Amino acid sequence: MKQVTLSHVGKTYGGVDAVHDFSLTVKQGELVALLGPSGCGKTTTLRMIAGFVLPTAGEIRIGQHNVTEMPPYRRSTGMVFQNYALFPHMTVSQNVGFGLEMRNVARADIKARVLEMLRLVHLDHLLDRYPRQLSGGQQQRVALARALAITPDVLLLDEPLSNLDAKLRHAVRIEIRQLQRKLGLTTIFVTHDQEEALAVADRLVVMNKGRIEQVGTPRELYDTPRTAFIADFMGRANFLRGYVSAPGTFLTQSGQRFYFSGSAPSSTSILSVRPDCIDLVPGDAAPKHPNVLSGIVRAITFLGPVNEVMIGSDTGQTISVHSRTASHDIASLKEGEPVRISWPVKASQILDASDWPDNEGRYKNRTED
Amino acid sequence: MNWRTAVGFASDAASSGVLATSIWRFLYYFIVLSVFLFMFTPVIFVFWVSVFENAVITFPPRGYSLKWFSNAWAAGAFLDGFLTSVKIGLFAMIAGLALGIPASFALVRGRFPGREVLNTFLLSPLIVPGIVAGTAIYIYFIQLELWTGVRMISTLPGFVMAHVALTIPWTVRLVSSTLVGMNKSLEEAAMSLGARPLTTFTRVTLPTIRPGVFAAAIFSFIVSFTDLEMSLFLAGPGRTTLQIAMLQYLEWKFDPTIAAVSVVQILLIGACLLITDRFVKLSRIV
Ligand SMILES: Nc1ncnc2c1ncn2[C@@H]1O[C@H](COP(=O)(O)OP(=O)(O)OP(=O)(O)O)[C@@H](O)[C@H]1O
Ligand SMILES: [Mg+2]
Repeated sequence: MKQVTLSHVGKTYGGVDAVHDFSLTVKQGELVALLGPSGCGKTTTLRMIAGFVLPTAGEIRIGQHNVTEMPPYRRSTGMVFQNYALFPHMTVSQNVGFGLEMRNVARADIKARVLEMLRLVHLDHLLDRYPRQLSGGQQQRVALARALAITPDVLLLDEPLSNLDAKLRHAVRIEIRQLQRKLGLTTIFVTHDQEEALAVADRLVVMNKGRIEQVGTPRELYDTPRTAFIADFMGRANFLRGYVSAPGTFLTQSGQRFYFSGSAPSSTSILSVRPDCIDLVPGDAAPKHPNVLSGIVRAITFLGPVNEVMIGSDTGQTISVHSRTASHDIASLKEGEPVRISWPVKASQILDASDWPDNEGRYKNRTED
Repeated sequence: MNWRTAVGFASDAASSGVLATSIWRFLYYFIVLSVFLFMFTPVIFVFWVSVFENAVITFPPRGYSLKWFSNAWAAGAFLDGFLTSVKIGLFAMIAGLALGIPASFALVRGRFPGREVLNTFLLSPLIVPGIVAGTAIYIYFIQLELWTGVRMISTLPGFVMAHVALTIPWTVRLVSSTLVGMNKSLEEAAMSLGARPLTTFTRVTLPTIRPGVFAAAIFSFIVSFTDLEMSLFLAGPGRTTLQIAMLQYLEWKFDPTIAAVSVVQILLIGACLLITDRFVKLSRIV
């Protein structure tokens, strides 16, 4: 396993940047997830590391070697494709042994290694099956075993779980994570599912329109998103537009005053507050926190452990509040009635508004899929 | 409306619905059956006539016999024609594959100006009537013979060259349709596992498109084998195909021999198609 370094890597398709000025070091044994909306350049980045796509700018190193222009068969990357790409005319063991065969490994050694790999993914009883005789989850694990059999310098996974159903996806992602830890695999994992990325990665790289938007641990990205895009992508948040009027004070366009802690970017900004950080203020009680906003309950949606309350606030924006089903506050709430909400100073996050498109909630360039 | 009439109304509607569907189903099967009967009647008659005892074909037959089969065998011309046809068919098939497979790759994978034009050009023999193509090739060969002095008409190379025009469209069509359907990440997977381009082609690409190649081979052979129009212009003394031998026989004699030859040919081609169908579902490709 080796370290992977990308320096100022770019790929242009007919004048359009698919990936732009991408710099990243994936440390030995680290699992980095590339995350971002559809079309942001995740697959292109991965394919440049694998050697299927030639970068139009920059340099890629695997370990000490500059592999930028090296053909894929001379690199040592283990790739797991979204559709698994198992060879349909070969059995499970032939599939897993293919890479070793290409390396002219002795037949007996291949057999032993294939068995070892299939044991690793708990499929050593299906050696002689053909891919079409396997379930989706089994095919996925054969693909993983095939990629690992060659002891690659780096493991590349392109949305490896997207063809599995929700339950299996959860199980396999834990399996992949455990395997990756156990074998100390340098891994790059592409996904557009933020929950999946948060769950498996040591570090996340959030991409947007071919560029890196922010790099950090899952916790860093969740707690301190640098831009509204990240905040939005990391889970639904409420955004209020305005500006910092004094240190620690934020004034919205409609004149409400909110408080935050820490430093903040100058000029126009966005105040972001997460639905689960907001409390409902019961009746005439005094609000617990200094940030208070009133509005009308528009809708209450039961989501299991929490209820999502949509509130038409006095700022003119709809605010989403997640209230625990077990709490008393939610029981007394009725649609169409006035309500007050409050949140702590440290729950207010001030974000740079330079890439913020409009007053109404969603991020313009984000394509949902 | 009380519940009684309500129920009666509902059940009336239901039974008339069932009746309507069964009428439609009956019509559907009737039409399907009629079409099949219409298509197969000639074949059935050929099989029947081939075992008539009497030389002059009259219905009903006087008796039944297999002598026409031995008669056809003894006639010699049919066997010669058959062997020539097989030879031409095999060579035309191989040449068609040798040219058509690379062409398919270029058409499906390549990005070059005039790709569409080339595609249309390679498929065009499918829409040119055989007689027209035959005339054209005949004139071309005559010119070639005049210029070079090399004999083309009624030679094996001449036949094969002409028949390649018949086999290429089939090869290109069948191979490129399997190529289009091929998952490209298979090749990328092979390469990331260390397979060089040539190894990737032989170990992964070819096996994956094998069904298409196989179907192309069989179809090429069949179109070459059953061709009459183009061969008519190229046949000469000592070199006739089976189809021409049959035509020539019919010119002076009309007895069940020809039916016997047809039966053998139908069974042969039918077997070819059945074998192909095991490899590729023909209904999906043609
Ligand atoms: N071969 C190509 N030719 C031209 N444009 C391409 C090509 N491959 C990708 N692109 C473009 O590059 C951009 C990035 O594509 P990429 O496949 O890397 O996105 P992605 O992040 O993997 O998206 P998804 O989540 O949908 O898989 C897209 O705008 C895409 O249209
Ligand atoms: Mg992708």
